[in-house]
Amino acid sequence: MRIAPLQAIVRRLVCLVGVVILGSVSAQAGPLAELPVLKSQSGVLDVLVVARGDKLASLGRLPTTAWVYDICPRPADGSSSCPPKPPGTNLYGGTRLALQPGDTLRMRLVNQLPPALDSEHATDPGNAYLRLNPTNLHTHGLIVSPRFPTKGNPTYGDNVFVMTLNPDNGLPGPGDVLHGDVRLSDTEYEIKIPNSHPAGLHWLHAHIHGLTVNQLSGGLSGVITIGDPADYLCKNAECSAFLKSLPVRHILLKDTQILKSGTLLSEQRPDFCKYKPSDNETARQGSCAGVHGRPTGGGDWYFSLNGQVFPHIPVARGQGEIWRLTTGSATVTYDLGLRDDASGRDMVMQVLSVDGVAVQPDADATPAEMMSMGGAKIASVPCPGDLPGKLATKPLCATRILMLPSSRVELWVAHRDALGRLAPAGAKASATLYTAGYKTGPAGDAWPAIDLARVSFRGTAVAGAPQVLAVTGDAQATLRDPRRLGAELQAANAAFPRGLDCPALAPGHMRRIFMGFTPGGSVAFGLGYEELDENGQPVPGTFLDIAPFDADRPTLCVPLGAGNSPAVERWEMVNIAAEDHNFHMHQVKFSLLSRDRISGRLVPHRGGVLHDNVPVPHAQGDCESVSDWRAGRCTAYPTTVEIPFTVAGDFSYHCHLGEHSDSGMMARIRVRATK
Amino acid sequence: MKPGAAAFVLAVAAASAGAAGLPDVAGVQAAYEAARSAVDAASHANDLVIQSARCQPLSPGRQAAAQAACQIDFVRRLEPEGRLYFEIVTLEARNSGAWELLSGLCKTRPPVAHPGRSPAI
Repeated sequence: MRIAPLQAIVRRLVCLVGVVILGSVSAQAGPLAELPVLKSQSGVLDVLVVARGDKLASLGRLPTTAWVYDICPRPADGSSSCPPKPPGTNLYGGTRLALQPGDTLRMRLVNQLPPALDSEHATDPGNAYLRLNPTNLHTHGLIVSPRFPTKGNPTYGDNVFVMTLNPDNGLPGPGDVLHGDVRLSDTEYEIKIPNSHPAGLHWLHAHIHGLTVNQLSGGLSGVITIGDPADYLCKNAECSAFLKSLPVRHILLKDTQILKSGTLLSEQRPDFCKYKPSDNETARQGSCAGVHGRPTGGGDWYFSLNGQVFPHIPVARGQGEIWRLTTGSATVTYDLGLRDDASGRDMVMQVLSVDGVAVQPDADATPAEMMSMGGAKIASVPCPGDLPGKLATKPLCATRILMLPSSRVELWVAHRDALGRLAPAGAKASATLYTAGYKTGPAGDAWPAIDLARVSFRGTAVAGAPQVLAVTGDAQATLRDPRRLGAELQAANAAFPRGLDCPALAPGHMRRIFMGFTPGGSVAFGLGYEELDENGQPVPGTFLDIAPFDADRPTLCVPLGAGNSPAVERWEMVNIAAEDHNFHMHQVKFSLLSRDRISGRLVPHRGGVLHDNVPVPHAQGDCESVSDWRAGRCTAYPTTVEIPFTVAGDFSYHCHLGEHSDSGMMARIRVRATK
Repeated sequence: MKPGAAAFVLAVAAASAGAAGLPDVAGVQAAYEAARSAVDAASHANDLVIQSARCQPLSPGRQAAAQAACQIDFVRRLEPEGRLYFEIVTLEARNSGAWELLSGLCKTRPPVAHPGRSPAI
């Protein structure tokens, strides 16, 4: 739910009268193009990242100024601009940075963004500077150091506590309250990827508190890949040869609201469109019509793939393709499916990785375990041809994928029959990639149902093609017991201050994070905290009520283990609100825990799925505070995770629904190095 | 280069050349120390050492500024790791020739309500 000013709420209520739905624009964008790629060379990718406005012709009827990353190899002359792109280049769609384990990613971020004139949070006390549109970078999903600069190395790691201002937009004045480091014009980043960093799919995006919605819906995101799918798929000769015949697509989902005037609405409104098409609404092919009479004044909400609205995805080979999907949405939850146009059924897809980590459930994992290790993201269904003992790990298949903002998933997509088996595609075999629409709870949002792309299938799979791909590699092992990663991060970790007062959790203890509104009549989102003992009871004196983000000081401190070895903790997220949240933490991957049905104890999954963001379902009932929850006025459905901390430094954990983190549902954590 | 960026570069160049009317490192450091002692010395660090200051007038086109904005970087003597901090400060000229800190560093910040909050560390 968006926290709207009272006036806006009143306006919306008044304007409910006489709502008319316009037919939405149906833009056939042609075949889906791959994202432009910049690859590392000799262990380094050194790029200029210019965040700027760009006239965008691919969305809507009128030219619109989107906010884009213009990325190019760093100019030798120190220029702050990339060379002009060929006409028709779609910078809004995003760029892929292709890295390998052990690489160094150097980025010079230059802020040339226009002002953020519709920033809602600029009206918060001390936040007028948000209209200046400061920005920064976050390499979401990478297990790398969030270094601060030093006199010896004045670059930043994956550090979100720095902002870069565009001096053309003016300067902060008295009364502005800026947090963290503040820089003019540009900022240098240098991010060292550990040699043992697993291959996977990650992404790059802006991470300014108060402007997340604006900058992501404006278009500020791109894709980062480490290695490629062959690093964790099909290690035996037969499967390896088959894998080479599978094309790989990178797909970046974005959504942007554009008013009738052609102006991009950076302060995205969840109720811009109706949840489902009205009877008189034309098919929603890549967009939905803004509701008339609302403050938004009509317009359209565009849902694009690589910046293209309702493109055609030709799957030209019978064995299908690998799709690497990233959602760069600020707020929208996608309930993705691939609907066979002839039968109307959802087609089975094999899930190869989640949040940049190959999925490797134990070979004898039960259906219940398969369901719970994916959380709400993956509604697991049996894979075709999944014979006991055939593969070292159990394949994960699904017909629907729930992608909350920041989620990534890699899929094997092929033409399959009703039983999920590879099937020859007839001359007209086609499907529709769609999001079914998703409601996040009684007090939440209703994200619209949209058809995203037309998919055509051709051909027959090669003889002897496997029904499922073998997922292998050491990603799960590396990230669940990240001692090798920790050893590689030793130098970066040791550079952080060693605090005295940062005790480790006692054995058997865990941390509980409350997600909800701040108490006392405030309408800000926030996070609360308490420590639980080995019996699951709150430890006296540890409770911190739900409060909005305090950028200037950490809420929690976690010490690394002896010799800066990884520290493994269990965290329980309790959502007391009547809407879903999406818990995300920087610099870590975590696994979901489930409760043993007999003992009630929390148990980790054997192998399986790792996440860096996970849905935390809404509570049932009426809780306005933690006290209400303790009194039983609502029932929450906690999500418990096991987190191996490997990286020292200050970073954040937050709800990755942009409107929630912008409104305060974020906290700063400090992971201390030990002596 | 855009006009605003050009103006900023010119202002920085002027500051680097020691032009009158804009604060320098010593001026910003003195302004910070004065603000720290005047406001609440106990709650503000006394170990900030400003390393560089790039300043421009807050009113465009004026070299002799009554108010100025500066990009500064500083270290803290008590942090052996040598972390470099970056900040933007605004200052106002006083008749004495000194500068008064208006925003940035310790001098700022309308209170932010954190009901029931106490830091865990």
